Amino acid sequence: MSDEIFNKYDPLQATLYVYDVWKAYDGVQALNGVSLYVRKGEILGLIGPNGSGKTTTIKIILGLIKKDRGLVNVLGYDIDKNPFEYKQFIGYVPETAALPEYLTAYEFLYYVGRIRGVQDSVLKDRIEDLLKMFHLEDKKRELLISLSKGMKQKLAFSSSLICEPKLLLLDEPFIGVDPEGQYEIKSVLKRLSEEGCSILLSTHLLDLAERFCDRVAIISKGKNVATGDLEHLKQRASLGKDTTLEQIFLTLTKEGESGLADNRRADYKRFFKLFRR
Amino acid sequence: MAIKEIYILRIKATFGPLRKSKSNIIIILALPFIGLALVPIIYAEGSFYGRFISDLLLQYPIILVFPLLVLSSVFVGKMNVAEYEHEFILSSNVRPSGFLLAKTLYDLTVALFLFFLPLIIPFIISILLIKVLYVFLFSSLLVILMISVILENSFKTLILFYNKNLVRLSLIAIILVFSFPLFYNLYPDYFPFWLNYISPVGCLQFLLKGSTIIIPSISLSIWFTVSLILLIKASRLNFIPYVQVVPQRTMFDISLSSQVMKQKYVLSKIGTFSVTLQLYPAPKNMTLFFMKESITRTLRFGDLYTLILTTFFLYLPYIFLQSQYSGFGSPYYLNLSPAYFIIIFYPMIFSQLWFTEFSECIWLVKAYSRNFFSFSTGFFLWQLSITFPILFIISVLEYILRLSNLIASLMFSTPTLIVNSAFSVFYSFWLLKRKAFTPHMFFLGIIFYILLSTPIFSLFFIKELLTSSFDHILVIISALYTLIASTVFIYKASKLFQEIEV
Repeated sequence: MSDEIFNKYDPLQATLYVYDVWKAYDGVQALNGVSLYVRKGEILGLIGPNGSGKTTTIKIILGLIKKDRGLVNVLGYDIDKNPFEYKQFIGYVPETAALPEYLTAYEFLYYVGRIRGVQDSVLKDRIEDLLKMFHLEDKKRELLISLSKGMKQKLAFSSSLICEPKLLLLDEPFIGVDPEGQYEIKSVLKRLSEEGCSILLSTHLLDLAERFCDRVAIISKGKNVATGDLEHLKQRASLGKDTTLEQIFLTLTKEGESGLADNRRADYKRFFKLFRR
Repeated sequence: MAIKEIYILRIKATFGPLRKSKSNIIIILALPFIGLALVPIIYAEGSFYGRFISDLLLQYPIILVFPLLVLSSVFVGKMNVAEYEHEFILSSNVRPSGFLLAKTLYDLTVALFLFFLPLIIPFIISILLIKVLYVFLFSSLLVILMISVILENSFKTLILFYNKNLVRLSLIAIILVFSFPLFYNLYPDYFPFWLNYISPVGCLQFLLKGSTIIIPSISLSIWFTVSLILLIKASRLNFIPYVQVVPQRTMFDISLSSQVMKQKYVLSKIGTFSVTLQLYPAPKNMTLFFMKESITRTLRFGDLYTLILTTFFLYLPYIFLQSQYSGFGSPYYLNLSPAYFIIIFYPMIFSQLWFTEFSECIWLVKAYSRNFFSFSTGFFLWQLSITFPILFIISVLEYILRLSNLIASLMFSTPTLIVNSAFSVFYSFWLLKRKAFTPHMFFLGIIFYILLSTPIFSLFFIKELLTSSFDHILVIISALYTLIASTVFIYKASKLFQEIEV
């Protein structure tokens, strides 16, 4: 049952560690000891059925909600001890981004830039670059309420890049975006990853995760089911060479539901020791 | 689909949310008691209060507000339908005439519910006391409501198919006739008296003065018949392709999502007018930056205009009453100026505005900022930047009209406004943390605002009993209270903000 993440990699070199995180909402358990990590320049796909705990995991990393227990470490910062410092290195796109629709596209990016502490002199050029990158220059003086869903999503994505992040947390960033927009976002993500930015990408698009992510973490009912690259997951699911991620996902999440993937405490303890080193 | 089904569906959509909260039931039960103020004019004609209320109605015909708002709405928009109606009812083989009739009946029900419920007690009393004149008065009020609603629905359809300018001119003429008594009261020498008989509001005034009931009855009957003819004419036109989809009007649904939807609709209609005021460039100081962002929001959602209009409508009757009754023993409650309303209710209104317009975006501040104290202070300063100028203008106006002492007025109202605005920040975050957007939590808020105003109220009450040498001590105590209370609230608010989960 051992997962490759704990065997082959030194966790201290990772950009993001999440270890044994638990969270309950009003007595309903949302996370039951989720663990994952993202290396520098790596794209980790986070997949799982609806309500499996993907969004909760991301929000905990961001400090938007409190975990009940567990450890989260971002770029060497323990988020419990340093709840703010690490945020300057993070970019975030929420699943359904509620944007201040009374602002224009330019003002929105300016607003995010200001609250993130980007200097005015730098901010202006950066906003122009981002608007250009996503072909939104002609919309910069328009209120967000008048923009299409796809444009708003691209703008939310642009805002996550305003501080040149080292870790991107993306929760379903492609929802409502047209194919051209998706291509633009994917190109930017690939480039960022090559430049060393780590990306945690939560998605329901399994074919995207298969082709786009370096590794994939599957969670179900708030528990890790499996983590690894496609080859590892195929072995893990005991499926053939031509298996798709979709088939792996269906097999492993069923396993997870029947409790086969639960017993992993020993691996976590090892991981914990490495992390505490 | 039959008229009955469309009508019932609308009624259910509007009144259904009543069941969501017990507080809604309390509000409805309280509505009939508003009309108690009118009882003196029926029960004790000629008494001081009877004359007072009768004068108020004659000089300041509040009844005009409803018909004028309803009729003016024709200029603003098309026939409004809810999203579910557009997608499921109007896409079916429903006839325009059926839909128009159902909508008119629905509008009438809502208008009667809102405006007749407060009149029920005086209406019943006038029947029991066999005061024929007042029975006629209240019945006429109902008829005017009906005429306005029928005319609105007819004109909204007719304007789509006939010469727009002609329809608009007819509507302006009707509005002028409705409001004729106002002009006549101001300049009686310039207008012929008989025009009062043509105006429905003029008819009401005749009834209120106790003149004949025959001419007003004939006049209102003609108005009612003409409006019905126009409705029949309109119902033969296919207006369905021209309707406008608006967020569903669920009157008693104060849930956050429903309020947000309504506000966004307003923003999409009027937001672009305020785009000239840009957020960029903004002050370097983060507190001032958050304040400017909030002011931008207030302008784009149109809140500022609403607040100014509300203040204006509150202030007009006050000036009238003060000037009319200041000479002979004005009642004590006349000393309650609109300034008191501003310092107690405006912070609550701001709290509500913040909820509907910004609370769903706090993930931005929570995820990216660490400066929660600046955010809280910005919220506080935003309220003051709008309410204080309004309060100041009112105080100056009162001073000019010699209704109150400017310095005394500001010395009382400013500290209270500051404390209540600071509390408003804390209260908003507290509600958001608890996710308690229920009506009774807002009522609880009002009690807190009043309680927080009590120390200042008490100080100024004590001042009345003491000599003027205590003035400076009172100012110091008042300033200290303001400083300590507002600092504590803002500090606590910023701490509370950290604990909010989004």
